[in-house]
Amino acid sequence: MGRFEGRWYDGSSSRQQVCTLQISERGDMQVVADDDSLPLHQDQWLNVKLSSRLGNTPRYFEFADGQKFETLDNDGVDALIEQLRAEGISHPASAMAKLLHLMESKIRYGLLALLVVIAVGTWSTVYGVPAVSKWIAYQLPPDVLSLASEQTMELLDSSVFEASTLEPEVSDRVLQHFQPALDHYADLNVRVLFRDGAGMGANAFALPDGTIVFTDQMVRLAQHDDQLLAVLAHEIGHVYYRHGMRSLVQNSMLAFMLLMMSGDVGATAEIFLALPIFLTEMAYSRNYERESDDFALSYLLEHNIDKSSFPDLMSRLQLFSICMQSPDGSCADPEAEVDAEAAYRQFEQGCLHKVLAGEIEAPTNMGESWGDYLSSHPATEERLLKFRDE
Amino acid sequence: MSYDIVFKGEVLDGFTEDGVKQEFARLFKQSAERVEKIFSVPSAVLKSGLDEAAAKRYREVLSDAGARIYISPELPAAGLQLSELETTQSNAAVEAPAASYAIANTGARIEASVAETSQAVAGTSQTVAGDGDRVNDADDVDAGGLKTLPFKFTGNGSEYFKIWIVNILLTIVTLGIYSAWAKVRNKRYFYSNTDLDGSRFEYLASPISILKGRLIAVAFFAIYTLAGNFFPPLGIALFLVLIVFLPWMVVRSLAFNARYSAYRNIRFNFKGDIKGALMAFIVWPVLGALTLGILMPLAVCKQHQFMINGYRYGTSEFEYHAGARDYYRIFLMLFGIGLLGGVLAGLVQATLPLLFGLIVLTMYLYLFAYFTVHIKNLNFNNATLGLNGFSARLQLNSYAWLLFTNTLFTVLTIGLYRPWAAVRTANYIAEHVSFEAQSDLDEFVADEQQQVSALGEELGEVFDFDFGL
Repeated sequence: MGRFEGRWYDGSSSRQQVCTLQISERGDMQVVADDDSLPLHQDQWLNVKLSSRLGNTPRYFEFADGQKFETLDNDGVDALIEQLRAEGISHPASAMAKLLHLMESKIRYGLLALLVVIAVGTWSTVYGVPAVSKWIAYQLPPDVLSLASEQTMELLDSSVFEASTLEPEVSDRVLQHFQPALDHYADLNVRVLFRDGAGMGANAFALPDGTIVFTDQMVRLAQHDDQLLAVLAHEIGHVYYRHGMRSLVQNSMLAFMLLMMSGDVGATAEIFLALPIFLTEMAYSRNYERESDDFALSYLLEHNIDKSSFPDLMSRLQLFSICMQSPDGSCADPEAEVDAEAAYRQFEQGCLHKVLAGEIEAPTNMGESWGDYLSSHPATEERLLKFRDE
Repeated sequence: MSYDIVFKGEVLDGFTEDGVKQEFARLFKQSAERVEKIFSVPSAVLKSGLDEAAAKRYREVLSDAGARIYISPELPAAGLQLSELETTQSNAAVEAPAASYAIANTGARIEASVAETSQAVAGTSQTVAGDGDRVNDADDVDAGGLKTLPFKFTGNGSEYFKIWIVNILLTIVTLGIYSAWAKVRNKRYFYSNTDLDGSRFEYLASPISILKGRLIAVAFFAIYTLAGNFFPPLGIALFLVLIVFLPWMVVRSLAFNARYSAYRNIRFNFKGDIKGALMAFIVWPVLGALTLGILMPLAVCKQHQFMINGYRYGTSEFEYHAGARDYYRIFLMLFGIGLLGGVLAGLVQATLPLLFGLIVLTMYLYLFAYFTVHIKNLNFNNATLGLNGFSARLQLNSYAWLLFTNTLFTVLTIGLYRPWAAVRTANYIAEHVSFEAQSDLDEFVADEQQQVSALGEELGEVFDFDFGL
């Protein structure tokens, strides 16, 4: 019924013998060496362990004592399986293996698979991963959140921040002004801290457990406390939506998913895998910022606070950073070694004054640019429009 | 069985032909013309009638001197084409092993033992001179029964693409479960398409054992990530646990891969011990880091020695003959090229900032190619399996071009070119590596089988420790 050319390996030595395997309708097999016509083995079809087909790689018949018959006649073996099945001897070489080979061998299934992979990949990146990480973030107990936040705060205090230099009356006044908002979201356990931002400059951020940090520079940059309140509302938005936790879970999931999908991409391609991961993380981050902006906007509207407070401070923040990055900055001068720290502080003060005095011009070309895709925050212009149109 | 020491005029990486000639003249106490003669013929039998151990010692000493040495079983005199050179009487064959042993022990390079060495070499030189004249003009296929067997890769990109994309699809659909099966199919594709002397390699691991290991590894990875973010002290503790288990994982991982790799129905194996892994993967790298990288090439050398010396094929052992010197040579060159590239990139950044990224990327690929080519050549050319050897001739320019085009196309097709890239790389390696067999490949014997858990390997893989050679 069937006749296969192949090679025989006895499993105890590396000797290879060219041989022929013959099989009858009843599934009786005989392997005979080609050179001396001596029988090497006799067995029954159902006792054979058959390797699954993979492309055009050799097929193995493995016998009970570990001997193997190897043949390249894949189509012949596939036909034999069918013929013997028709004869009523169905080899447990499963239907799954056959289906798998069918999928792996036809280009139309390959292209179909490609389409599905692209569709599923896109869907999971845009909706799946954010939705799952949101769910996970809301399942985390408060203890975990505070543990994570305390660790982060300790790290920042020891590496970046210095103790706040705000006059006590200023910080008290600001906290006083924040109190209604803090009371409004009492269940979020929001607490406000002030720190000297040092290298971080003017900034405000929220930690998952509700800790919100304002740097001294941020406070000084504000014209009035409503502007700070608007920023506070934005940061409360981050706490409310658990953005910190979500981004942590989301970024881990994203990296894990890509790793699983790509498998071994090779050492040189890995550095290129990092770029799409980074771009996606930045896109996630921008979505969070938009969500928090909306949160802040509705808070301001609800409490009859001038909604332009937020964009006003944002513009100042932007002008401040433009000034800080300006080339005439003495802080960037490597020869100012005398006291780099003091020079930096002086420069920072200068920038602060310039901004407060309205001496810095906003750049004219503030439209969209490719750089936006690399940014963790939406373009300032986009954020300002939201607060001014409505 | 007795063996010949055959030299085919080939000089190992990092040695110059002139240098090797001088070494030959010194070791064998021969005149420059006679050494020239040895170099001028396609293949020369330097010594014959050696037992296996003595043959290996000869190879070691001569490899240290920079000569590529083949060991071949001695054929009856009729099978040899004697050269036009005069044949002097072969001298006291019994002396030879003892003499060469002395060379190996003292290390011909060490000045302190000149007296002993020169005495030993003097003993050798006569016999070598005697046999050294038995020069074989035949093609390298039959230099005393020695066969060069090329590796061949038979896979092709579009066939593999279909397998690859179905693997990814099923991995996604099954939320990652299928990845274990996918891994086996990917590996099988590359093993089973690699041909040596008419037989293919086999990858035989069961997906279930890979899946089990993978689940444990993922669980550990998840805990480690969470701990690292929420409670750094626990993260550090887990990291220490990982370090403690690392040697065990390395051994397990190497053994698992070897155990489930077979050729001609004989399995490979790995017999390295945990203590060796501890030295090679923890102690030496830490020393390398503490000395700001000065000992790093030595650490890499120790790792390769540990790995290659641990491998078995059936009952036959792999041996690795490269030493720290070879590694320092490669790393110094790499450092030099990197330095030069850095200066170049700096100049470009000052003049043409737009090109900067491109230059840096090209430099990265070039350094990567330099490292891969030299390390792979070193690994193969210095590895032996019993009396058989390997020879690898990867070339920097062609390999760098392969790497560059693969990377370029993979990026341009957002990864879809990956299957073709993998096939091209496998093809390139196979084309540039061959097996130097001292006889036919029928005489390897199987070792008794033993199951190895996949866990070691999977933990290694998720944490991205790539131990591959």
